[in-house]
Amino acid sequence: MATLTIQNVKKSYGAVDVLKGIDLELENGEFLVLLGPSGCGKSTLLNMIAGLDTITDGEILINSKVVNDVHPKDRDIAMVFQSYALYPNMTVERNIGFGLEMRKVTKADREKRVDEAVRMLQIDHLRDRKPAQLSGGQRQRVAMGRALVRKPEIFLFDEPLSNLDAKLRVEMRTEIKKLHQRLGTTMVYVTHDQIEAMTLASRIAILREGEIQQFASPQEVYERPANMYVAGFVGSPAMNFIPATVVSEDNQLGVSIERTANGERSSVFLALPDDLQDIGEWVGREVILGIRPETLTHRSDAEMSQNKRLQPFDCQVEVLEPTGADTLTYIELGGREVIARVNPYNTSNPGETMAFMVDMGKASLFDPKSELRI
Amino acid sequence: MKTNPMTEQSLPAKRPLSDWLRWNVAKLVVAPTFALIIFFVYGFIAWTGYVSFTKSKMLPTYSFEGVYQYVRLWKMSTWHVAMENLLVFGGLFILIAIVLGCLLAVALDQRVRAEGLLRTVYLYPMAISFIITGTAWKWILNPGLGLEKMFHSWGWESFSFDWLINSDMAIYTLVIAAVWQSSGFVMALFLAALRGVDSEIIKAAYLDGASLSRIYLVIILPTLRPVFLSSFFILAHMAVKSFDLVVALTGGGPGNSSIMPANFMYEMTFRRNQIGLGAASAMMMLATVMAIVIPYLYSELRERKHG
Ligand SMILES: Nc1ncnc2c1ncn2[C@@H]1O[C@H](COP(=O)(O)OP(=O)(O)OP(=O)(O)O)[C@@H](O)[C@H]1O
Ligand SMILES: [Mg+2]
Repeated sequence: MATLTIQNVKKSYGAVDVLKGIDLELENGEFLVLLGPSGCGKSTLLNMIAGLDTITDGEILINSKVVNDVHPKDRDIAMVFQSYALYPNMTVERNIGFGLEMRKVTKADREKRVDEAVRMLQIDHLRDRKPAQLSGGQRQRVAMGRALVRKPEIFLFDEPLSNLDAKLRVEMRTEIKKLHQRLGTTMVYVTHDQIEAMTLASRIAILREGEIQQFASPQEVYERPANMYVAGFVGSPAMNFIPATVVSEDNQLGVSIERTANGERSSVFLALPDDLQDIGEWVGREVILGIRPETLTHRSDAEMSQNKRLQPFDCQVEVLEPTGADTLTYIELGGREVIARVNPYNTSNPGETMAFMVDMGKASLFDPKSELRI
Repeated sequence: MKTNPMTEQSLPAKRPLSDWLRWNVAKLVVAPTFALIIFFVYGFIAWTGYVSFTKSKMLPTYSFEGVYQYVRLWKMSTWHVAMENLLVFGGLFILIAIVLGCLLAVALDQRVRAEGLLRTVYLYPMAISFIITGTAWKWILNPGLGLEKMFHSWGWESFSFDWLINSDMAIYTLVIAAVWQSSGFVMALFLAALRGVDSEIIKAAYLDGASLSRIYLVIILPTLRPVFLSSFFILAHMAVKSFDLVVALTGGGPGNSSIMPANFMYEMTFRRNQIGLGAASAMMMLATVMAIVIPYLYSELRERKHG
């Protein structure tokens, strides 16, 4: 177990700045997920933590000790690679034990630890096979076994599940989560899959073009995204972005949104919750209202009377997309296509006007220019 | 099937021909070259094989005489010298070229600067024919012209390098020249294979605590087994065939000390009017190549079958 601190770490390849000053701080036993699109520098950062790539500027500390110049093998880090990187000419057993062999662990001890690892990963029947004789999922387990036996201070995973099929991916995701709960080791996990990030992480760092957009718990990232990029990246279907104007009505701040109801174009006023009442300087200005589809649904008067933050409005339905559990209802607000998640038994037909309510307590407001959260 | 009776009736004869053409066009294209190969390669192998069992001298005769020529051949001390030379030359040449080529490839794999230039420099000798290589090395190794004279003119008077005119050492000059010519090619083979190795495997080995030499010896080189094999077979057949290098560099001499089977065969067949004996020596060379190639093909085919 270890703490990991990354201070203003930069990386350039020639004139290209791949990482532009990364700051992260991990507690003992945390599970950090680095989330970002392809090419944003996730693998680069992971390789630098492992010591496989040089650091252009900044410091990496493990257990408060600067490790910039420490050789990878002395960092007590194990890594699971995207391509699994198994040694093709060695059996599963030797693959797993190779790290111990290099560290001069005695044969008996080595065998015991390899034994433990293959049992834990349920691959003991495969121990004499070569990697070429394994399926993708089995190779994945061997790669994990190789990391496990070393009992490292920190585990690094570079998109370990991206080569597996959908079903296996979900299974392995759960296993990794269980593994973390059992071992309690600090882990850093790279992915571009936001669902993996949400399910596994104790904290998520969202990267974009070498910069951290937000570093927070999954819940916080989901409910209070730091900017429109994060808001759009996390969640499926994605958050709705609605152009709106901040207005004051009856001494209450709210947003005014254009929409069509009963065949007419008109504005609707949605009051902002108490914690957003202090944005007086925005009155009369444009903002972007961010609403998650599941906070926008059919109106229920019983619920509305209990929760003041639920705001009603009517709107014409454009398209319905049933998914089974919910029906995704497409409406148009402020000139944008917006998705609402509606119970299948409460939908209206396309072209009809339907009564909605939105939980403004879970809404986000963004500055349309800087795209930052207000 | 009676879906389209009109077309079936109107094209009764044309259809089969165009179909036949479509299925057989590939065979038709290959057929001439196939026939030529059958005749000029395998046909002449068979002819040579037959002639080796006759008493042909200047002109081929066709009366069967059994293994007479083979017995004669194996009684000749020159043939023994040639076979021993093949063994020494082939063994050293293959071993040194592979080791050197492999080391060069590993060195170049470290992302050295000017790699493109170095690769060309090492590979370039392969583009030269053995005749040129032999002639160039004859000048370099000639005591009166090349290295020895150069060191003497630099003031190292005692320096002596006379392998070319030393009948015990002449065979090794062939090794030097052949290695010079071929190790760059072996390097290119290995380098291409090394570049194909997943870089994550090397990273994983680093994290596992293996040193660079360990990584190459224990992890990477074992995966290059096919490249070792192909280099071995390419070099082995070059060794058995080597004829022009000997002609250009040592001329088989001093005496017959650096003669190789191919030179022996040429000498007997075309100079000394001993076609039967030459054919027998050619068949022995074929047998040597077979002894190498057949196990290779066998292991390859078996591996393919086992997946
Ligand atoms: N050796 C290199 N030289 C130059 N640029 C590089 C080098 N390695 C990576 N890059 C660049 O750095 C950026 C980040 O690469 P990195 O591999 O970290 O992306 P990633 O976030 O892991 O993407 P992916 O999800 O596709 O794996 C990319 O734009 C890539 O082109
Ligand atoms: Mg990557």
